Amino acid sequence: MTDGPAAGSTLAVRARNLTRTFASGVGVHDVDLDVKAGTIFGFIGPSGSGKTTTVRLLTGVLAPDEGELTVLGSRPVDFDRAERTQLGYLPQASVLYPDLSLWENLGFCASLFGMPWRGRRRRMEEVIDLVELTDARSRLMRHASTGMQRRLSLAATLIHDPDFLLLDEPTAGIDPVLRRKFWDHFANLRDQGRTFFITTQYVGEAAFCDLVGVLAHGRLLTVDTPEGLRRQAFGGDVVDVSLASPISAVDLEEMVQTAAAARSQRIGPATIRLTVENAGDVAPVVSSWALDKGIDIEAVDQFLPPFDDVFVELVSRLAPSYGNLQ
Amino acid sequence: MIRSLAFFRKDLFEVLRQPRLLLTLILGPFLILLAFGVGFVPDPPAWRTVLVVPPGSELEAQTGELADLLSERVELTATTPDEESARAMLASEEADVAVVVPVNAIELIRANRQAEITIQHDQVDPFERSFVEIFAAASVDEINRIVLRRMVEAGQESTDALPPLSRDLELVEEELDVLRGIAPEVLVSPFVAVTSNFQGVDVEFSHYYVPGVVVVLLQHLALTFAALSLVRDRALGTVELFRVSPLTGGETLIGKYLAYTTLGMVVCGALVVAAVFGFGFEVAGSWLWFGVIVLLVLLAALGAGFVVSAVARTESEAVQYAMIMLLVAIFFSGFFISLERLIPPIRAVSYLIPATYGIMGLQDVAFRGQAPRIESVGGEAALAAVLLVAALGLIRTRVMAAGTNGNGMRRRVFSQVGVGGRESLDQSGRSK
Repeated sequence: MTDGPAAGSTLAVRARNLTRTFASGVGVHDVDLDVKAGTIFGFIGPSGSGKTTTVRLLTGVLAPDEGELTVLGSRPVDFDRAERTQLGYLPQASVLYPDLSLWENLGFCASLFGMPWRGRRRRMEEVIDLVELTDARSRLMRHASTGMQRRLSLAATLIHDPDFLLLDEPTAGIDPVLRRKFWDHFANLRDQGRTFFITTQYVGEAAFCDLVGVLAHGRLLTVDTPEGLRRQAFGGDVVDVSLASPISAVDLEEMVQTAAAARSQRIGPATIRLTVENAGDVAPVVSSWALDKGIDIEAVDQFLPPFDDVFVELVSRLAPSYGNLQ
Repeated sequence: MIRSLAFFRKDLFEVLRQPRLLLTLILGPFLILLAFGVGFVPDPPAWRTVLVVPPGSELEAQTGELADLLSERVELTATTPDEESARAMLASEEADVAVVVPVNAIELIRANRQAEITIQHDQVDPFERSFVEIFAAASVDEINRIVLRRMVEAGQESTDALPPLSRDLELVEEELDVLRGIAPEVLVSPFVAVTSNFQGVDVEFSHYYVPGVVVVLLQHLALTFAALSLVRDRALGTVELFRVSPLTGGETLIGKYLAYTTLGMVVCGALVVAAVFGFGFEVAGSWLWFGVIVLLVLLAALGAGFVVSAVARTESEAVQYAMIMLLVAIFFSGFFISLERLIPPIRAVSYLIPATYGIMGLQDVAFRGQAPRIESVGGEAALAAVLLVAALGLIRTRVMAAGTNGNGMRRRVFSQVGVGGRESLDQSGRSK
């Protein structure tokens, strides 16, 4: 995935040597980060890696111990009212009022951002419809499921149509269908020029981001596109070659050389997994080689490793001290 | 057993890990009781007394003796022949008690009537009023005893030097006629004490406590709601949302003040309706003043609550502070013990409590039928203003300030749920 059509050269976030450490030693250390306006920036990392701390630094809730940080051109701790109005912040936990109805909570959040009483009803209906809570709007927050609470929190973040959205695990507890709907909406908003900084516990959601930062131990290991991360993790594209029958070790060695594969692995009696420079180039080459050798190929599939695996590979490689991933 | 011990351990540790809560739990009530024990005076201070001796009174020459007789409880501050000026001194709080001696005591007694010594006071507290009445009755009994002793002494002296019977028999007969005409109870108690409030206020015990109950309850309600309000916002994590939004501490406070003031006024209305229709409570003065005082009590109590809210770390701590404030109000606000019974350093604590000014003001309005004295309204307004400024400062610096470490964020355990799969390629390498 590339930057959205509205992406420009303006930086929404610029961080240099950003450091914030807590008494327990956890925090973020020496983070350098550029997030272009009009893009979706994903932040993935294990629990305690510093994702939420980073988000809170970006909102100005926390002040950095060291380093420089500008968001929308200003230091977050110095944000004025106008700059705060441009922010949409979804905290990690549900922070809305359990004794107010979903609709009342949404109205409260609209008021926090100064939306006038008159004329906001339509916007409220739009966002509550987006998160599919129209029928449950009268329900008390305390009686809403965790997923519903999360959906309402997202609606409350979107209510004032902010320019820069900081979403800390927006899809936690949301079913896959609705998650996909949310990501489509984020992409749509991104295309309209909004900027997103999203942390997620669903590593696979990195695929929906324009750029992804991988965080471990409070340190930013790498920033790349989702495809770039896959390639970084496995040293290239991964292709599965399914044969009609098993082949000998000699034939396998020959196939690896023909395909210029960096790595090979038997993953079934007649299935070989190859790591190659470009998956698109492999199928014609291997097919031609098999035809010459009289070997019957059933399929050549590009294997897209789950981002969990990508993540594990990257962290293992880039932060070897991080022994047991959680 | 293991399960029960698990709760034992959990609950114990939860409390022990809140040292401030423990400290206030133990130290708070102890300090209150200590202050009360040290500061409470069983006998009220001597009443500042003005003695009214009308011109021509037979007791004019005995004023010094009368003052000596009353000196145990009375500090004679002035003597005046005019009852009106004595009442003016009571009204201006220059005196606590006015003792009016009868103008023609001997004439009244000879006419078989007890001579009234009128004691006027400014008390509305039935307890303090009873104290005045008991003291007045005891003092007049003492006067009667002295009078009786002097009469007997005078009688004995006169028998020692009896004039010749033939010459004064008629005179003696006349005196005996007068004596026979006086009832024994008048002879034994020629003087009687009549006590009253100088404004004619006579409050029943049950009615007397209504303003105190209303004020103390409202203070506790407002303080508790305010104290819990921001602590809850912090625990819930909503404060983090406030800090990111363009909201200011002032806007937050104004909204909360409005909400809890409205709630407090509604509760006050319900309490007053119950007191009026349930107990026959009456307000002698203006209901408008009554409302103004209640409003000021609520504003001051809310200010105190918001200060607590900014300082307390947990709901338990906030509740405990509110309970301490309730205890302080009960002991030191004049709710059930008059402020005069507290020594001045401890009485200073009373003037830091919103309920003190509220009770003072409502008693003026409800019982005396007058506008509240300036110190009650002014004191409450000043306290409310100081607490508002303190609350605003604390909320700005401790709760809403950007770049400070917020409380209440809860972390969720990271769990990884991957999505991934295969994408089939055709023989030319394109996706199917």
